[in-house]
Amino acid sequence: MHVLFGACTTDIEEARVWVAALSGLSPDPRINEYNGQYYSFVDVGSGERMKLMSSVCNDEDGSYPAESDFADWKILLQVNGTNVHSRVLMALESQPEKFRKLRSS
Amino acid sequence: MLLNRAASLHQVRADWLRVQGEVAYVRMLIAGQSYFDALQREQRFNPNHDDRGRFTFGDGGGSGGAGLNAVIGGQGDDQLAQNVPRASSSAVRVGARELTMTLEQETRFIFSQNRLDAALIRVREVDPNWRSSASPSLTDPTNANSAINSNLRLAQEAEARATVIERGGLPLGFNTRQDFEKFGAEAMRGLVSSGHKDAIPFIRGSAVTGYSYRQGEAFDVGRRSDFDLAIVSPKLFQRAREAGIELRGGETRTRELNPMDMKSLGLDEFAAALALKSRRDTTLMIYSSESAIQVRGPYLPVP
Repeated sequence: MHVLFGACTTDIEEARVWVAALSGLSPDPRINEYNGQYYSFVDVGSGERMKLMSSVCNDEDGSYPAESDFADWKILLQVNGTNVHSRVLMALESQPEKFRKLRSS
Repeated sequence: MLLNRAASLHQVRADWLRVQGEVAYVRMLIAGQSYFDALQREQRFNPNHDDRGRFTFGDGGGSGGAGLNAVIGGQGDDQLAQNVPRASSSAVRVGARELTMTLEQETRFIFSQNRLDAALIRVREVDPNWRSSASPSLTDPTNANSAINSNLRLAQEAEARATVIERGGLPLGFNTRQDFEKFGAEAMRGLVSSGHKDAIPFIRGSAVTGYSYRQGEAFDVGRRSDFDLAIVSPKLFQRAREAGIELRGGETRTRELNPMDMKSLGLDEFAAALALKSRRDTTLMIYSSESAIQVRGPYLPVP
């Protein structure tokens, strides 16, 4: 299951603190050729993987939204390999003032 | 008596500190002179250097290429630097421009230029056709700091590329060729089991170039870098087009696939398995042909 959240902040560092506090997981700083610096949170036990990232990608042609349908959000949080009973997912859903659920599939 | 002894000890300590200070000052002068002497001896090929191997300066004068004596007031002269009258800034020619630099900026610029020269020699020994992937606007600095940063970025890029080539073409992020081959086998198995038998994976980006000019970062420095996997498959590319996935590069490739794109192309499990095996995320992009990858810079076939 994949769930996409929009962070109610434009500061990825602030969002990082929120995710770490809600999930109890440590952020792993990463870098992506197109998306720039982002944070990865992995729950080794459950296999859940979260990616806290900018909503803007760049390549030689210029910038483009990582998620065309949600281009208005500056910071996105992808939750992959999750399920409806996930403790982390429920924690994120319980804080709509910090994370707005945008999509679930 | 006791007071006299304390005063005497204080005097000895003060003298000792003064001697230490003077020794340090002399050592600094010697080191500085050695540096400028080395600059003058060194063979140059940069167009910004004059025929004596020094940087060229504008009419405003300057001291950088003229040796430390010009800064401190002559060889053997123990006059303090701050007593020597000198211009607070000077004009330095960088490419077609003349940039104003302070003495500190000029020194940093010389160091950055030396590093760049050394990096270019190193990379061109192993890749004579190496060219920076930087856009021309980034290598045409308009002020001192951008000139220094431009040199350092280019140097980093050249050093990183040389490192990759010196590793025998083994992309960064793999400790051994066996690791790379395991990754390749996993990628091929994943593509076949996803129903994309015609797909051919290539690796590109900073794992191959050693440096991301766009991000201004060398591979795995400070942060763990993602792999950039380029998949060539005309069929998959057509499916991506039909699924409405944004095409870029003159419609020769997709954008970086997001989770929904991967799902619609049946690549979500493939990407998750690769991330698990390599312990780093993998960016996926679908290309219409290998030549579409080629125009974007260095790349390697996944074994």
